[in-house]
Amino acid sequence: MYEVVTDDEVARQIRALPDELVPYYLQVLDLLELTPWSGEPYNDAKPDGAMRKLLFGPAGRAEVIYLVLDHDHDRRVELLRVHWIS
Amino acid sequence: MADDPGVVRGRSGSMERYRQVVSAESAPPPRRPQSEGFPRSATPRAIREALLPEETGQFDSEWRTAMSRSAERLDLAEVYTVLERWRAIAALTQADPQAHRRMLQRAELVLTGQDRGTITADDMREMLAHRLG
Repeated sequence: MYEVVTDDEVARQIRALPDELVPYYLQVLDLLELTPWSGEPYNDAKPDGAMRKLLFGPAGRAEVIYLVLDHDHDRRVELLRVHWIS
Repeated sequence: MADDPGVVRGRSGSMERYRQVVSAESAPPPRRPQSEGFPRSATPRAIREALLPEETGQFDSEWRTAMSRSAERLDLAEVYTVLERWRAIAALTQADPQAHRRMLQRAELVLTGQDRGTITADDMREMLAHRLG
């Protein structure tokens, strides 16, 4: 189980999510707590990179970009940006 | 939910639980939202100019490598792959350059142990709970 956390700026992005994306985003949270490495790499040139992204919502119109920190004492997901197409 | 077009997609093959809830094999493949709004015809120069200086070095390195390999193989596939990848990042950058810069800066701080988010998943759930139908 990973601890999923973020900062105030990303929290503002999350609050601004359109209503129809909210249920999908909540499922993203569940997923990230369990299998954050299942996201795609932020840059495909670094397939094992800690910076990842996940598409969500209808037709994958939104995405979350995040870091995975995978240490024995600290299994954490840091959300870096939530972005969507209006 | 077979007609539900919603998806949560990342690396293929690892989303079985979520496919049951939010995805459908018949749904159209997810678009990459980062690349929306950035023209497919964008030249390598235009893509590079849309990036932040923090990322142009990586672009240059990948571009040179892809061009060199493509010249040897007489096959431009790798060049196109690199351009598509960076077109997406360029579009994400242009959507909000300052947010993108702060994202890169925060990533660096987190990776070096200088920053740690304080808003938890439960905080986020609570923040959004009232917006569920």
